[in-house]
Amino acid sequence: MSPKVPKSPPLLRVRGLERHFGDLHLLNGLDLEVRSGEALALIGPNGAGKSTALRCIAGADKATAGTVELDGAVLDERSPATRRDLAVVMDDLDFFPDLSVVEHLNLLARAHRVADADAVVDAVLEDVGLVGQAAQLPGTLSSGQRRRLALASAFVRPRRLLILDEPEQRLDAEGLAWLADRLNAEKADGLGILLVSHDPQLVDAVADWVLDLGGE
Amino acid sequence: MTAETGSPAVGARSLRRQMRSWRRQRADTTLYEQVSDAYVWVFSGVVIGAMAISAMIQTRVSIASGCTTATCTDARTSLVWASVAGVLAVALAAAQSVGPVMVTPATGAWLLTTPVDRRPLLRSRLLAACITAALVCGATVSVVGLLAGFPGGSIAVLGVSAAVAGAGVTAAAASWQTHDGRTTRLVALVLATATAAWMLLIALDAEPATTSEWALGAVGWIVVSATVVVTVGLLVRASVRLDVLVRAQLVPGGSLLSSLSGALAGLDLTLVYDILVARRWRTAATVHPVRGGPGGAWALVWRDVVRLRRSTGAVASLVVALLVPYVVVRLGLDDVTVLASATTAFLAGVWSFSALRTTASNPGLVRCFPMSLAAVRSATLAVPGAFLLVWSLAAAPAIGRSLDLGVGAAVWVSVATGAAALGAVARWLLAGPPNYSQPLISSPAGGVPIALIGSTLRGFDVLALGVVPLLVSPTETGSLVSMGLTASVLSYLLNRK
Repeated sequence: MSPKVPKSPPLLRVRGLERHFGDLHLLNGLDLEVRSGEALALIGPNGAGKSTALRCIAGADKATAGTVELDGAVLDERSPATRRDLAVVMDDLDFFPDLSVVEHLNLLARAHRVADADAVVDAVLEDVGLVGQAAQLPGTLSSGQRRRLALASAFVRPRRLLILDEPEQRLDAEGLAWLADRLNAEKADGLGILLVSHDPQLVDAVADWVLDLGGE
Repeated sequence: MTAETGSPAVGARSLRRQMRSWRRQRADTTLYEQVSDAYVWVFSGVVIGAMAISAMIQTRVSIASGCTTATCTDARTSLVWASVAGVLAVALAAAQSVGPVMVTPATGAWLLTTPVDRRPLLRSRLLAACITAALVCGATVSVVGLLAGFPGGSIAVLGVSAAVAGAGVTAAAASWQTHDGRTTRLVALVLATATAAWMLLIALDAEPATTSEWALGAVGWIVVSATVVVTVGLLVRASVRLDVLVRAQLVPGGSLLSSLSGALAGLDLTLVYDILVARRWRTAATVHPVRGGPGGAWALVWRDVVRLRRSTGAVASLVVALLVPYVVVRLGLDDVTVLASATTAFLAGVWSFSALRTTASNPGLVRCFPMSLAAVRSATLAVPGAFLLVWSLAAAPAIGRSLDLGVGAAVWVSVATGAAALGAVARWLLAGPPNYSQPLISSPAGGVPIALIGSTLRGFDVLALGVVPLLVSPTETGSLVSMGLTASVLSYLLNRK
């Protein structure tokens, strides 16, 4: 990644991130920065450590070494402030089996004390194309619809940084186009985006910076 | 390659013969070696079975010595009839869950898609389901009859009748499987309601007087014979209708059993819970969405109110379970009322805590909420926890009567009992899966993680921690000690990452 001269503190700053599994050194001193209104894409072959990097940054996994800062402070995923600012969509996101699609979004919006939660939920439902599935329980959704619900869960709440692990997974062509537009709109609203993707078109459409973890 | 038009269906017998031949060719141990390897299991089974029978006989003597009044004897006798209806309701519910006729996903994909004659293939499944139901129903009713002090002859007649009836209702469920089990559910509900009504009469000391002597005479033989005749008829009817069943009605039960057996093989009981809860809601498919509610952590609390409102089964089971402490008192088992109440509250109440379990097993979901892990867990514990405490208050009269306590002390002991059950639920649901990266110990079943065996006792350990002070000192002081211990455990569990 080409370093950029900072004008203000970056939204996300990662320094010297390492993750070792025994003798396997998956991440070796990863440095990256994400600024408000910008998107950084991590690319590379399977096993390059992209998802592991995201997991360490989001606090879902413990890094062997390195620091992760959100807005200049150490990122602690246990902190309510971090959870308020950080919207993460990774593979470990599952749903309540007994709450419908709209109830999930309503719950998240209200837990984050979103003003006019019902209107926001309706707008996001419309946006992700799940209006017809609003009353459905997650166990009956297709894999693509579950992916849309996972993305909707990030869009229905306040956020400053989006961390997305292969958000294009299981989305059809129309869904991919929508996703690119949506992420660009998020950037325009001043959000930072860190994503892992295997889709060159999505990366081209969204990312301002690209970091190839397999490109040593 | 296409099958010749009008060619006869392949026989299941020839297919089985073929598969048996393949398996024998690949066998790498002899039958003698297999039996030699299994001797530990056989020996363990015999020893544990003998211990269980001895314990039951001791319990029967103990119950009989404490049950000297006519009203107590009436209650014990009546409980056996309730157990017959209850066990048949459970057999029907279990049959409806798995089919009862089912095939594994592999059989569904590889055999049912071929022009094989399905009926002989499915007949063995039907018989297996009926035999399993017969064993469970017969054994359960026999044990209840034994504990109730029935004579040996009556136990035999009742046990055989219940076993045959269990097979019969399973065969009936197989006949109704073509209608997606609606009739099975209805009959199971009727039997469960009858059981609950009968238990209510026992709890109120209003049950009709009954005896068990009739089972020793001609009436007993007539009952057994009639049950056998009806069951054979139901089996024949179910067998004739087997080829009406379609693959979509056969495979889901097999998938469920495969998932459950996988979870049980790893002694991961919370995974069993997850599988059953997921299946229950996948079957429901849609709900009437409820919006609105407060903000912050209270949004999670409010969602549990909505959740409980739509989980009628979980709430109903807890309400019916309230009869248990009152029935225990009627049976003259005063010494075990607190333990029975706490255990019942734990086992019946755990189904109301699905949100706590979901957040415990999904860190990604918890990450979505702008509050600490402990706050999320506390919020999902609040409503069903309060419901459990209300339950324990409703059990206070039974607990007070069994321990001869005043109103104040009875309330304290009851609340402590409910709190112990709440702690046990939290301990059970917040447990992680078995950790196979830990050191393993050698066993006849292969390597077993050290903590795996103990995981089956999880929940009951915290229950014992809360109940023991109440058994030692059933007073306000004992209740405070119990609640202090439970609160410490709860605090640790809610904050543990």
